[in-house]
Amino acid sequence: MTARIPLVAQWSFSQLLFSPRTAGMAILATTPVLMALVYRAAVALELAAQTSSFGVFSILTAAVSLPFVAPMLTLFYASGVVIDDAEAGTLHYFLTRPFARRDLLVGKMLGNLMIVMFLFVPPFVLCYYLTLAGSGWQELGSRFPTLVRDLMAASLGIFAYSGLFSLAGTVLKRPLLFGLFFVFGWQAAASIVPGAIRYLTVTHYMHSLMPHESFQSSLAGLIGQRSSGLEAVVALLAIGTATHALAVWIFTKKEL
Amino acid sequence: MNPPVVELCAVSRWYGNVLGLSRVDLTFESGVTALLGPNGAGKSTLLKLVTGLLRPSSGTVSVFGAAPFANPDVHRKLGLVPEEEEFQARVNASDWLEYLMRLHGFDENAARERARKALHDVGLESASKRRVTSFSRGMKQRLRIAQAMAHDPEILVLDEPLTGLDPVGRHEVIDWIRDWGARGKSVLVSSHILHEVELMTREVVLMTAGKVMASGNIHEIRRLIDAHPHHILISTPEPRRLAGRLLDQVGLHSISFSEELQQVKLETREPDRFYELLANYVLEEEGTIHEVSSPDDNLEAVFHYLVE
Repeated sequence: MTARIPLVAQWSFSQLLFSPRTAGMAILATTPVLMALVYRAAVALELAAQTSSFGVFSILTAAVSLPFVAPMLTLFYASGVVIDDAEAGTLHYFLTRPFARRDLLVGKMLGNLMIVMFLFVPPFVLCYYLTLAGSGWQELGSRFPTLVRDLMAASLGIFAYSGLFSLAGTVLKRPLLFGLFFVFGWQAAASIVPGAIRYLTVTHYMHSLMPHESFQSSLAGLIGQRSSGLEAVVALLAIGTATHALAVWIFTKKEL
Repeated sequence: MNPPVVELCAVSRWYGNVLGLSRVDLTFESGVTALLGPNGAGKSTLLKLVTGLLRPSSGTVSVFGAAPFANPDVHRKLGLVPEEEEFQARVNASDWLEYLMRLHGFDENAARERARKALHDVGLESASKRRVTSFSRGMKQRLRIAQAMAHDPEILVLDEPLTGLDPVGRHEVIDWIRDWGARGKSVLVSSHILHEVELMTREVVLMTAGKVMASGNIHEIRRLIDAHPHHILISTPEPRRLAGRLLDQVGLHSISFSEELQQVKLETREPDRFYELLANYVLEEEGTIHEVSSPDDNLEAVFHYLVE
């Protein structure tokens, strides 16, 4: 790792941390927490059964956090990996400094990943605690491996999404539109269509890693198209690595 | 023998079907050289090629003997003041410069010291802890210049550096540029305003429509320019007072003002005397001027003359 990468990553993270975008994304990231609070309030008012607490966490994870919050957070940061600086008029100042373009983009992508994880992980863990805390410490402890596996699936998924959206941000003029189409158009359609097309989505591999049942994972299991855990891990790592590397290669050649 | 500081050999640059630069052969050595031409002449394209932000479609560009595109060895010796554009660094001026110096390879202490000195040199020391987004156009332009000079580059490239500056600021920047050239450094500066260029250097490259029309000493060009009145636009909160002050000046071709727009428009055949008067108005009569700009109509006219 060259010396400039941590510097750029740290700078990007600090710039993003106090940006208006992060204020908006914090609201998105805490949506599952708000839902968990509503559930806790419902239990307190005896409007919901305490015994379903893990089921609630599963629903929030499989239907909100992993398929919606994780890709949206990643999209709104990773797609701006080049455009943010171009629009702010700061890109040319960086490109005429004596260090490799590769280091600039890698540093920025690392900064983006740091802010996404910073926004995603604490609310996710808080959501776990809020939904399961009412069932006692024993329940919290016994379900902990599930939390770890969810976080691993989320991290690998975010890595893969980051690569895809960074690549879009390096190549396209409107990467946000591409990302929205990818998440809500392509992936939504591909995950319910039988056949190999689902292997061209990130969500398929994330669902394969999740210990929760969801509509997509249930359907995939039903038609025998759920990947093994190892296959899913390898696929997500491969997607993330290849797309990040391609984004860097294009950026080093690109006129800006 | 050392290679020229900058050398362009048969350089052309296309943007799709549009020709931005057409078979340009130029060399630049130490000292100040100005690229003079109307908007769209290819000045910014040439500067982007020199600073390695663009690659030539054909021909070769070399800076200190090396191709500058994405080349850290070239960028180590280069300072760039980019064309004025949106500049929204969401940090204070001191942190911004310090970060750029760290990117340049200086350690934390050296970067901080260079940032402090550069801000002092451009008169922004008192605003060093203010966010860049709150800066006026003139302050942003000073900051652009500070970041280009802070690492003491061998070649300074400035794209329309006087844009947005008030008369005092223009005077200061012109002095810095001349001083930089006098120290044996290379300065490449673009402008569409002849009389400003004339204050910086005698060496001029005249460009239009992506081609080099002429290069060399400024005197002959100046003679042609003076045959056409200079258009000048001044933003001021006191347009009536300023117009009254300028009304009886020798060489004034026409003048109009708008209280609503807070502007004075005028044409003059003696721009040098006019700018001197304007400086006096600010310094001695405590007049307020926000901005002075000069559309390049007069230069266009000269280029038409040259082309014909």
